[in-house]
Amino acid sequence: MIKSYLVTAYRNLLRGKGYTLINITGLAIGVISTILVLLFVTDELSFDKHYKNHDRVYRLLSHFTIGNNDDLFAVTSASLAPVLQQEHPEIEDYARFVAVDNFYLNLEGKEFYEEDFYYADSSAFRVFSHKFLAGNPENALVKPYSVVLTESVAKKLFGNQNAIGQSMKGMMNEPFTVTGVIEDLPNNTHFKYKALVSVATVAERIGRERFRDYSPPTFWNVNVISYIKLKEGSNLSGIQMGFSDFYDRHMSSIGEQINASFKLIIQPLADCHFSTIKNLQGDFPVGSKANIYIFSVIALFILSIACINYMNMATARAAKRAREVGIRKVVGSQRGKLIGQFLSESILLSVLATAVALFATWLILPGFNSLADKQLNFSNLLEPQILGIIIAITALVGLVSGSYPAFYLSSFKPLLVLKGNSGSSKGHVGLRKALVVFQFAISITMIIATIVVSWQQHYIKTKDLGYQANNLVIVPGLDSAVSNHIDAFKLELLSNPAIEAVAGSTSTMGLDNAKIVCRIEQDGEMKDIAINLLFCDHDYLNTLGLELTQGRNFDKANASDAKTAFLINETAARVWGWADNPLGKRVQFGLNLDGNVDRDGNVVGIVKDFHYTSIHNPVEPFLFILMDFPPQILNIRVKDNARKDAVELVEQSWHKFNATRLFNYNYLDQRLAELYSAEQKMGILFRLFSLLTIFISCLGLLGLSSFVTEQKNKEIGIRKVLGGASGSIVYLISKEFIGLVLLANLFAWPLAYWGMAKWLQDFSYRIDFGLSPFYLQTLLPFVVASVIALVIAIATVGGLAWRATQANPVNAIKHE
Amino acid sequence: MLRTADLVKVFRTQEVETTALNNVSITVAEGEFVAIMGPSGCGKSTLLNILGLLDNPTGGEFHFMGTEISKLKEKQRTNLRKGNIGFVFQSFNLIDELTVYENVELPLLYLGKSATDRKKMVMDVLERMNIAHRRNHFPQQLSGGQQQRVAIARAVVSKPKLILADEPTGNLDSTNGEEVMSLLTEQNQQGTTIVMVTHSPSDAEKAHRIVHLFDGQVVTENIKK
Repeated sequence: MIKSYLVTAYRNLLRGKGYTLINITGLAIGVISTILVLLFVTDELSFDKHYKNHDRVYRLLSHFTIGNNDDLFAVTSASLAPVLQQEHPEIEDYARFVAVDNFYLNLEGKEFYEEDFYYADSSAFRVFSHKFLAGNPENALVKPYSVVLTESVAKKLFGNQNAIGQSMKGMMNEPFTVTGVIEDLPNNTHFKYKALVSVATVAERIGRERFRDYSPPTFWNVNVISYIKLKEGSNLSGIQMGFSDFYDRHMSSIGEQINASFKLIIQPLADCHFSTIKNLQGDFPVGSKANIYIFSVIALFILSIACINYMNMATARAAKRAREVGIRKVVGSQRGKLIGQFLSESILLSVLATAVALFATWLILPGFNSLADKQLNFSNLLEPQILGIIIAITALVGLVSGSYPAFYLSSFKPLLVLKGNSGSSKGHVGLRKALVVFQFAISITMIIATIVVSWQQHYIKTKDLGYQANNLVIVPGLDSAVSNHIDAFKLELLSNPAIEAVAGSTSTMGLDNAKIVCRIEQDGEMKDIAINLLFCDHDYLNTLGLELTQGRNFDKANASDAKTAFLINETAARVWGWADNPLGKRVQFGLNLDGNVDRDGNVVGIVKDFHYTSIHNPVEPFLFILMDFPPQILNIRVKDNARKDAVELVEQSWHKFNATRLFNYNYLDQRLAELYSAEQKMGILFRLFSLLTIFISCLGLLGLSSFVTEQKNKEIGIRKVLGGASGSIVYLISKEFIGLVLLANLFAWPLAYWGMAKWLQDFSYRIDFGLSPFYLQTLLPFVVASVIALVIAIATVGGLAWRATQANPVNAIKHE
Repeated sequence: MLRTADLVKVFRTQEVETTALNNVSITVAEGEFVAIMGPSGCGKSTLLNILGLLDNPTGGEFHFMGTEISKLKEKQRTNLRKGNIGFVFQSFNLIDELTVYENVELPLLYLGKSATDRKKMVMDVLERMNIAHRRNHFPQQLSGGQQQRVAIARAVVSKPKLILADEPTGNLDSTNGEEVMSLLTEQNQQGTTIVMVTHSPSDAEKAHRIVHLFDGQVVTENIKK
C-alpha cells in the first residue's frame, strides 16, 4: 500500500513540476535555516564543554562594594584560589592566568609580537584538559621560563621543526624554552589563550617570597583570572557557606580601612560564555542568549511559512486531485487510507526538501561561517542528537504541512467530485486566506525588524564618539629608548608635515578601560569611589580631539599640575552632584593603606562626554590624570591622506632613536570597528534571514495566485469577450490579495513594535523609537515595510493576472 | 439482491429544493441485467449512485443483499461496497498518474489482497479484457475504447456481485461501444448482476429488463425475457 502511495506521490510531484519546485525550494530554505540555526545554537551552547570534567570547573569572580557602588570583575586576587584550596580540601586544583602584556619574542634575531599569551599555574593542564602534541602536561609549566605553545603559534614560529626545546628571548632577554605544544583551542572556548608561560617565571622575577605572599592587602589587588576544580562528588556549598569566615580571616581588616567589602561569585565553567552577570568588567566577549532566541524564532518563522506554502498550494490544487480522491473512494478506499496517502506525499516532499537542504547547507556553510564568525562543521550534523532533531523536523514538517490538505482532500464526496465539482467550500477558502495573512504578517514583521536593526546599527556606527577616531595611529608597547626620551621623540615626529599631533597615555581610548578607587569631595566630605581613568600628557586632549567645556587643560607652564590637577567628564560633574560648580572640587588619587595619598588636588577642567568604551556601555564618570612617568602608548594624529607615509615616518624615527623592540602600530578606527563587528555580522545574518522569509512568502504567493488565475481563467475569458479591459480584470484578481496584505499589517505592526522596542532596550544609546506623540520617525519603518510587502504582492499576483488576460479568451472559454 | 421501497431523494440548495427521486420502488434479482433509461435529469444517475452505496436516500428503504442500508454511515457503506460493487463510468475515471496495471490493482489493494494474489487476479482480468499488452501504459496513452476496457477490468477484478454502469458507451464510437457491451454481457452471463444507466436503446436491448424513469418516477418496466 505504501508503495502505491509513493508511486502516486512521485508521479504527482513530477506532473506539477512548477508546484513541486516551489514547494521543495520553500521547504528546503526553511530546513536550511533551521539546520544553520541548529548548528549555531548547538555551538553556542557547547562552549567549554569540550574540557574533560568541565562540570567540576568553576570561575571565580569578584564583587566589590566600595561606598555605595558595586563593581564586578572577571578577575580576582592572586591569593584567593591558593588560600581557598588550603582551607577547602574539596578543591582538587586551581589554575590562575595573567595576561602577558605585549609579548615580544626574539627568535635568532627575528622579532615577533604575540597576543593572548598568559602566565599560568603548572596545574593549568589538570584543570583544563588539552591534547599535547609534544611535551608532557605534568611538568611542562613547572620550571621558570617554560612556554607551552598552541599548534598554530608553534607552526608560525618554528615552521615544521620540532618546537620542543627551542629557545627564544623575551622582552628583557629572558631565555624562554618551549616545553610543550598543545592543539589549538577550539572556537567554542570562552578563554582562548595562544600560549602559556609558567607562572614560576613571575616568581623568579619578583622573588619567591613576594610571590607567595598571601597577606590581607594582596586579597584586594585583583588581576588574575582564577578557576578552581572540585573533587569528584563534592559541591560548592562548603566554600560558599564558609566564605564569610574566610573574609573575616583574610580580608575584613583592609575592608574596614577602605570602607569596602568583597563578595565571592563562583560561576560554573559552562556558564561563562553566557555570563548573565551584568556589568562584569574585564570579561571575555560573551555570547548573546537573545541572539539565540531571535534566530530560533526566525528559523521557526521561515519553516512555518514554508509549511503554509505547502498547505495553501496543496489545497488550491485540490481541484486537480479531486477526481483521484473520488475514484479511490469509489473503488473502496476509506478516508483514513486517503489521509495516509496525502500525508505520505507531504512527507516524501519534506524528505526531498531536507536532502536538498543538507546538500545546500554543505555548500553554503563556509560562507555562513565567515558571516557568523563561527567554525561550524558539517560533520556536527551527524551527531546522533542533531541528526535526531533533523529527522524529527523533517517528519514534523511533512506531517504539519500535509495534515490540512490530507483532511481537506479526503473529505471530498466522491459523487460531487466525479461530476466535476471541485468541492472547495467557502470555509476552506477562508482558512487559506487566514494563512496568507499570517505569512505576510510575519514577512512584514521581519521587514520592519530589519529596517530598525539597520537603523540602530547605522546610529551606532555614526554616533559622535566625542573625539576623532579616524586618522589616529596608536603605537603600543613603547621601547624604553623612545619613552625615556619622549619629548625629543615627539618633536622629531612633529617636524614632519604628515603628523599633526602626538600625545602619550597609559591606555588606548575606546579599548582599554581601568577603574581605580579614588576619593572625591561630596556633601562636604571625602568619599571613596571606583572611577574610570587614564593617565595622559598635556597634548592628549588636542591630539584626540576631545573638547573642553569648562576650565582649562593641563598646563605645561604649571609644574604643580602633575600633583594637583584633574580633568573630569560632564557625567562625573553631574553624577557627583557638582553640576553647578564643578571646577575646584577636590579629588584624591593613589590611596595608600597608611592613609597617605599620592595626589591631592582639584578639578581644573571639564571635558565634553565621550565614549571611552564601546557604545554598548553607558558613559560613566571619567578622570584624566597628568602623567609624570614615561608613557606606554603613543597617540599620533596624522594628515588625512597621508596615513601610510606618516606610519613610515614614525617607524624611521623609531629606528633613529635606536629602539630595539619591534615597531607595532594600529589605526584606532579599525580597532574600534572590531568592537562592533560581532553585531554587524549579526545584522548581516538578520538581513539574510529576513530576505529568505520574504522570498518564500513571495514564492507561496506566486504559487497560490497562479492557481487562482488558473481557476479564474474562464471568468477572465468571459469578461474579455464581454469587453472587459485587461487592467480592470487584473485589479479584480489582485484586490483580494491586496486586502489580505493590508490586513496582515494589523497583526505585524504591534508585534514588530513590541519586539523591536524590547530589542532596543539593551542598548545604552539607541534610536528614538517612541510611541507618543506618534513619531513620524517611528512610523517610517512600518510604512516602508508595508509598502514593500504590498509592492511585492501586487507584482506577483498582478503579473500573473496580466499574463492570463493576454491569452486568447476563446481557449479559456472552450476549456471546461 | 437490490430492493428499494418508496425511495426519495431531495437535493437542497439555499433557495431551491429539487426532488430527484420520488417514491421509486424497484427490485433487482441476483444475476439480472437491468437497464435504466430516461431523459436527462430524470434521476437515473441519482438512483444508480444510491444503488451503488455512494449516496444516501432522503427517504424510503433500500435493501442491499439483505441489509437495510439507507441509514448507514459512510464508513459502513464503504466497507459494504468494497469488493461487492464494481463501477463503470461514462468518462472512464481512471487515475492519470497510475498505469493500466496499477489502476486495475487499486480495488485489490484496498481489499488487502496479497501481492501474489493481486498479480494473478490483475493479469487474469487484463487478459480477459484483451488489454494485458498495454499494462504499463498510462491512461492518456490509450484510446477511449481501451480506457473503458481498463475501467471494466478494474470494476470486475475483485469479482463483485454487482456492476453499476453509468452510460458506459456514452463516450465511445459504435465499434468500441459494442465491444464494451459484449464484455458486460459476458460478465453477466458468468453470474454478475448488472445495473446500467443508458441513453442508447440498442445497449438497453442487451439487458433483461428496462426500467424507464421520468421526473424521478418509474413509469414503465419492460421485461424482455
